[in-house]
Order: sequence, then C-alpha cells, then structure tokens
Amino acid sequence: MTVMQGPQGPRPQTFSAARFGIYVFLVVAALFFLMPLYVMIITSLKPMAEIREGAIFALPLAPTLEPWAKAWSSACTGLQCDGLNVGFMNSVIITVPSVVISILFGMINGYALSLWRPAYGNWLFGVLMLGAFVPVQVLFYPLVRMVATLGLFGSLPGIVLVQVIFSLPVMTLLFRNYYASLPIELFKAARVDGAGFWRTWFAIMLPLSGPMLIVACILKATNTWNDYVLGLIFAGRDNLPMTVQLNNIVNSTMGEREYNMEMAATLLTALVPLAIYFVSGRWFVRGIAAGAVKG
Amino acid sequence: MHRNWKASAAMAIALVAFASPYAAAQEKKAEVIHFLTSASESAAIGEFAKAFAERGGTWVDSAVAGGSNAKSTAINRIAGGTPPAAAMFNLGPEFVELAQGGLLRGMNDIADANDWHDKLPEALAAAAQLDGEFYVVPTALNGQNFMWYSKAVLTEVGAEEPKSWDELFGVLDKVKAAGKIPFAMAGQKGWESQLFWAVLLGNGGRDVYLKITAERDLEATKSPEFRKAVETFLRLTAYTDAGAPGRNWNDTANLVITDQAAFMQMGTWARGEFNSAGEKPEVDYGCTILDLDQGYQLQGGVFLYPKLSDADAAEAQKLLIETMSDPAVQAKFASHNGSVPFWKGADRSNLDACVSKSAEWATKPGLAVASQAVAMSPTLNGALTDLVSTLWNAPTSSVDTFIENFGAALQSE
Amino acid sequence: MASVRWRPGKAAAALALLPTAVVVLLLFVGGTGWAALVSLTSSKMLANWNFVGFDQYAALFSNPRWLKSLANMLIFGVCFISTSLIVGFLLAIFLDQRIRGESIFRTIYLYSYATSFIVAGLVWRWIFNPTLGIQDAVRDLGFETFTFDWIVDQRLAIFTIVIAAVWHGAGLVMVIALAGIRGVDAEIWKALKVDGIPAWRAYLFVILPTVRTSIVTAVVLMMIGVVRLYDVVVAMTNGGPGSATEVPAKFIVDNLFERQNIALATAASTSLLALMLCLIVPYLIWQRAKGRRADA
Repeated sequence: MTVMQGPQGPRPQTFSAARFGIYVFLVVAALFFLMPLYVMIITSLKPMAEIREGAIFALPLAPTLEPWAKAWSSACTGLQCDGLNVGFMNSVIITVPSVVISILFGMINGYALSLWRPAYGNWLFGVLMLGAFVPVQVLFYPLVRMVATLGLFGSLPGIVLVQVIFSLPVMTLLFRNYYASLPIELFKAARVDGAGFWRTWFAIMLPLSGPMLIVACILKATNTWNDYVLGLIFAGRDNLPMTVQLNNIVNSTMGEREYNMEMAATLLTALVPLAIYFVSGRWFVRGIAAGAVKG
Repeated sequence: MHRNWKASAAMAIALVAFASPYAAAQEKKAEVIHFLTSASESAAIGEFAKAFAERGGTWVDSAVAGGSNAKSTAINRIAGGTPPAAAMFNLGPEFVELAQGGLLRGMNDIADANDWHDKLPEALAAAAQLDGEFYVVPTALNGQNFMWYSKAVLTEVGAEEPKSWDELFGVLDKVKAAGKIPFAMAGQKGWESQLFWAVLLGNGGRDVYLKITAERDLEATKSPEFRKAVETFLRLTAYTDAGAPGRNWNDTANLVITDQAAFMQMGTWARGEFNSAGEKPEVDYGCTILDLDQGYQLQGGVFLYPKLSDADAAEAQKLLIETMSDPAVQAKFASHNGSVPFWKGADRSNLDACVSKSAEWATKPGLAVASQAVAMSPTLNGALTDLVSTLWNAPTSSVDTFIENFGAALQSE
Repeated sequence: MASVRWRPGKAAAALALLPTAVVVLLLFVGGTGWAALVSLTSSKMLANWNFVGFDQYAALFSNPRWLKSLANMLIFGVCFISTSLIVGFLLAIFLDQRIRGESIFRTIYLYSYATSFIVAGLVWRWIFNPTLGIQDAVRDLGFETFTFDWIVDQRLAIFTIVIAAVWHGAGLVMVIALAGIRGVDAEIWKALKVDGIPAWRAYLFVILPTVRTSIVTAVVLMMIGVVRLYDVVVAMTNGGPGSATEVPAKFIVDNLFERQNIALATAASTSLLALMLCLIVPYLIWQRAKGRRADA
C-alpha cells in the first residue's frame, strides 16, 4: 500500500549534470544550516580575550573546554552557582508527562472530531484553532487564577497541566488530519461489528497511530524542552526547567557577558532534542510517510 | 541487640519525620525574587544572603534574568496566592499600583525604629514612600548619565577629558580624523533613550529636564533649550560606526576597552565590564559626567515586600527587611557591583576611582535628579522611548515633528 | 439512517471531548473574553475596572509602532511561509533522489529546530552585523566594497529575521514534505515511469498535488508561528533598528510586562484575534464542505 523508499526498481547511477547540481544544492544548503552551529561551537571553545577581538568566524587560537565545564556545573544563575545541571532533571520530569498526556488528549480529540463528528465538534475545533493564535502571555492572569484555585499553582502537576492545555490545538489538528486520512472502511467495518467509541479506538485506531505518534512526540518534546516562559511562571521554584537557568546565564541587563560559556550552555541545552531527532530521525520521516499529515 | 538497633533506628527516623515540619517552621525562610544574575551581581546579592543567614534566617533564592521577566514572575506569584517574601523592582512608580492594591507590607514600623528618614538622601526617601508610608527599600543605585572613554585614544589624539557636551564634539572630530570610532553606541531602544535624556539634562539644562520629567510641562518641550538638546542628540549620529544598531552594550564597551573607540555613554554598571577585562579606572579608562553641574541621573533597584498571610513567614520577612536595610550590609552589596553606597555613614573608603566619584556626586546635596524611569511611569517612558529611537535611527527626519509628537505623548499619560 | 446507528457512539465522542471543551470554554473563550474586557479599561499594571470605552483601540491604531508591527507581520508571513515551503520542498525532493548520506543531510537540516533562540538569535545577530559578521569576513577576503548590512537598515532588517526564521523552520517543512512524498503510492510511481514523464514534470504536476494536504498542514503550523513570532525578533534585533522589526506579539508582551500597560496590550491581542477570525472562518467553512463531501 504505502512505500517508504520512493521510486522502485534499480536506477542506473548516472553522474549527470542534474545529479551534480542536486548535490551542490544540498551541500550549499547544509553550509547555510551549519553556519550558526559552527560559530556557536568555536565561540564556546575560545577564551574571552579572543572573543573580544571580534573575529567570529576565526578558529580558536587557544581552545579551552573550560566554558563547557563552567556552563554545566559552576555558572552563576543567581545566587546558586551550580550551572545547568540543576535544571536538567526538572526539564525531564516536566517534559515526559507533558508529552504523554498531550498526545493522549490529541489522539482522542482528533479521533472523536474526525470520525465521529459529534454535534458541537466543528465549533469546538474552530475555537480551539483560534486559541492557538493568542499569545500565551495574554492568558496568564486568568490562567494563574484558575490554576491557583485548583491549588496547583507553582507545582509539577500545575506546569504539566498548563503545558497540556496550550498544546491542545496543535496536537488535535495533527491527529484529526491523520485519522481522517486513514481508509474509512476500517472504521466502518469495526462499527458494523458493534464496537462503540472506545473499543473502536483501542482495537483499531490506536495500533494504526504509530507513525503520527512519533511525529507528535518529537514536536511536543522539543517545544516543551525548550519552553521558557510557562516553566518560569507555573513550575514553582523547585521545578524550574533548564531553560530558566539558561536564560539566567545568558540574559543579564546590566552585568558582564561571558559569551563562550553562554554558547556552551545553549549547545548543552539543545543536546536532548537533538538526540531525540537523531535516534528517531528515520521514524520521523517514515511516520509522516504513512499518510500522517495528508488531509 | 540487633533487633533493638533496628527498632531505635525506626523510632529515630519517625521522630525526625514528625519533628521536621516543626523544625522547618523554626527556620526563618524567606524567598527573594530578583534579577541580579551576572557574576558580580550574584556576588553582591550573596552578601544579603550571608548577612541574613548570620542573623538566623534562610535565604531562598529565585533569580530570574531580565527585569521584566523577574517583575512579571513576582506579580504572577502575588496574583496566584504564593507571594515571595521579597521582590526586586526598579526605583520609581512601579510599586505604586501594588501598594494601592493593598498587596505590599508597609514598613514604617521598621523605618521609624531604624531612622530611615535621617539616613536616606531626601530624594530617595521620597521615591520610596506612598502617602507617607515606606513600601520599598532602595538598594542598588546607579548613575545613569556617565561617559566612559579610552585613555589611550584620547592621549593618541592629544585631547583632554571634555567637560561638556559642546566640548565633546571637538574631541570627537579629532578622534574621527585619527581613524578611530569617536562615539561607540549600543544601538538598542533603551540605550538610545538613555542617551537622549543624558543629553537633555546636560545640554538642555536641569531646568527643562525637571519641567518635563517631574511636571510634564508641554511648554518646556517648545523651549529653545529642548530644541538645542534634540539637535545635539542628532549631531552625535555622525560619530557612530556602522555596527552600532542592535549591538549589545557589552560589545560596545568592548570597543572602548580594546581602544578601537573613544567614548561610550553608559550607566555606572559599565564598570563591571571594564573590570572583568582587567582594566583600571583613570589608567586605562576614564569616567565622567558631561555638564556635571546640571545633574547626576539617579536610578536603581529596590526591593518590595508583599503582604504574607503566614505568621512565621511574616516574621522571617521582618528579619529580612531589617537585614537588607542595614547600611553596613548594603555597603558590602555595593562593593561588588559598583553601585552607590548611599546610606548615611556608609564606608566609602574602599571604592575605586569611578565608584567613589559616583558616590560623591550621588550624595552631594542638590545634584542628583531622578532619571526618567524613576520620575515617569513605564508606559509613558515606553512611548517616549519609541519616539526617541525612531528619531535616532532616522536622523534626517523633522525635528519639529519629533517635538510635536513628544509633547503629545507627554500629555497623554 | 446512518445517523441512527451512530448515536451512542456520538454521545461517547461528545463526552470524550468534554475535558477539552471545558478548557476551551474556560480558558480560550473565558480568558480572551476577560482580555477583551480589560481592553476597555484603563488598566496599567494590574486590572482595574475603570471603563473607558474604545480609547485603547483609538490609541492602538494611531500608534505608529503597532501599525508597523502589523505591516511587518504581513511581510514576514508572506516571505517566511513561501520561502520555507520552497526550500523545504526542494530539499525534500532532492533528498528523495537516493542521495548518499541522506540521514546526515536530514539531521543537518533538522537540528536548527532543536536549538532554542535565546542564544541562536545572538549568533545570527553577530553574523549579520557588518563589523563582526559576514560583511567583515568577506571584506577581509579582499572584496573591499562588499556590503551586507541589512540588519542595520530600516527597510531591510525584517528580511534578516526571515532568513533566521527559515533557518529554524525549513527543516520541519522538509520532513513533512519528504514524508508526504515518500507516502505516495507505488502504483503512481510505476505509472510515471511507464509513461516516461521527466522527473521535474512528475513532481510538479502529479506528486505535489497528491501531497497537497501536507502543504496545508505545514502552512497552518507556519501561520501560527508567524502570528506568535516573538523569540526570534527579541533575540536578533529586539524590534530595532528603531521600530523597523517590531511584530505584534512583541508589542503585546512588551506592553503587558515591561511597559505595564495591560489595557493596551489586551486591545492589541483582541485586534489580532479579530484579524485571525477573518482568516480562519473561510478555512473552517472549506473543511466543513470537504467533510460533507467525504460523508456523501
């Protein structure tokens, strides 16, 4: 039915001008994408004296790993001078439940909206999508009051709840389109057998959700891992994610800047999503390949 | 024996588990939200934490980089019912709405007991009160309208430290002729605005500055002094370099540090950057205020203390306030981040050349004026900043239109 | 007929959607309703209920910075979405050609999405800065008159933001496109080979229309990103030079927090919402029509 590899059959490897052009394009694009990474890496390996010279593309003359060690374990983020590692576990315990619960809701919502179409479904979806366009900061005050009324303000359940709420629009969109693209015969067949809402989902749709699950997982995990403002306000002092430490290291209004350490800190923070991409990169592509994002 | 050991261990653990909530209550915990996150700033706030610990308290630190991030965290915490014991804001009208809403702890009890009225310079005491009640503790004071310069460049072109904005241009021309950057500018809205107000005070004069910031006098914007200041401000654009727009102030200071540029206008916190590059005041770099007699622009950070409902927490908060307003502790704070030790009787002997100039001018009677951020609301300031920044980035646009818009904005708040 | 049998299922579906509906009602409807109310007051740092009618909206639409923000959002949106679509699809099509080292290329194009803009923006700022970045480097190589100072130019600065945003987001478009293309039925590829249609024609006239809906989803995701654009701007230019790269989300957040003018901020966000309504409603009507066609 669906093919992962593209055109079939042996293709003669002719090194034509067209093929050469393709490689050139890909390499030039790769250089563009890699340029900032290159600057970040070499800056993170230079001592501050070299950075002051201002040659951002020059290789370090006296490379040092000290900024990396400092970023991880001794950078000052306020009074505490323990670097980024303080927030690492917090980021993990915020991200994992947020991703799991968001995807669960996204799946159920998408399934209900696309295949069952209850009466108020379209209105709900419309308002939900509209909600995606509102900057989250505008909703802070009412949300703070609501979460505080539930007694969850400044706690781990609180930040997970907030993460789930704000991801409802996109997650619902992704799964709704995905389920709508699957062959409707499967769905109708299940219901002829008398299976209700939940059984049909559990027995038929859930097993087919694999591909889109991976896609949504990667998107949501990246966004939650890199989130700053929600974690700052809702997580409470004891659960502050790594991004808050990162911001404290980097963003000083009137203090002196240590650029090499800031670069190292950013690269460290980006390692986790990057690792996720690297590991599941193949699945990512195959995931959408199974018709995930098709209408 | 073996069984007894296990039983006693279990009992001990149980006792500790029951006792710890009580133990925690005995600990005087106070959470402080602030935005002092660079190395020297952390050292400074560490002095408060140390002093608090010495008096039996436990400092719970919640540092959030970026003033508006920290303030919005504090406001949301107050709104969410879990206020911190202390929060850092800026000197000026920011605390007024919170005080009017009954959300802050008034501090007249401590102020009277420790004689704040006597120990604080009058302007500061006034800025810290609302309707006769103290609501904030002024803490990190800075001079805003300073001028920093590279000694090497000035020596190279054979120029003396200028005393006024008008004199400055002569030196700038010499530097330009020598091929260096005359005026290093950090091209971001806030710093462009800061430069404008420094020029207005020094070149336009104290009188017109006060009329505008304190009285919102429309007529003052139509005066010849105001126009002169605007023109001086625009004249400076000819002496900046191509890389100025968007550049961080630290990178700009760097140009002066590496002797590529002559002058930079920045507040006294710039000292931190010079210091961390190993430069010495009056040797490698110089600091001054142009047209000093017109005024020293004062701005800074303050701490406010939200009302707490828990009795134990409130007690800890009281101890915290007493600690943080102790002149000796404040002097230690100032020694790290170069801010002014302004309490009467503070020890000023260990300050380096630039900080002691700053301290002297800040406390000279009649010299200090409130900076624009202290005198006017963030909303008004923001509107004026937008106008000034637009003008700076389009220097050939009409001065008359600018003056008109400026006046209109001034009236609208 | 069919609807009768669906009823209990539909009830269960409606029930399953209830938590989301509650959230939508309370937060998205209630919250934006609250915001709209505040926009009719004179609130500064905290909400007060001193109603002033539409004064804030009048102030808003005579504020040059807000008007510039809207214009910038339009310019940015058009450039960013079209460029990312083209770059993403080109990369996807080329990667589909049995390239050696495809995984490496794919990871390279995707990694930027993982990097948070807090510092990535600073790096782009350096790269675009005429005295520190590309202009300086090229001049050092001997091309004395080379200029690339868009970021300090009032009219061109917004395009530097487009470039940085494309760097960040094109990878995502690429994988969506690549997957869509790879998901095309084997039968279609066979038919194309048999007919002897040249590759570029095949892609343009057959494949792309088949993955049309991937394009739509990618565009919707990008539109959300355009309206919420904030981090990139703050990290790269902070709205400057002057107000040349101001965007609506930044205007709103600045007024909410830094400027302590929440009435103006909520007026801005409510206006933005009204604008989005004008765009979303047609999309939903189209979706509804499609749904009905699928039913029939």
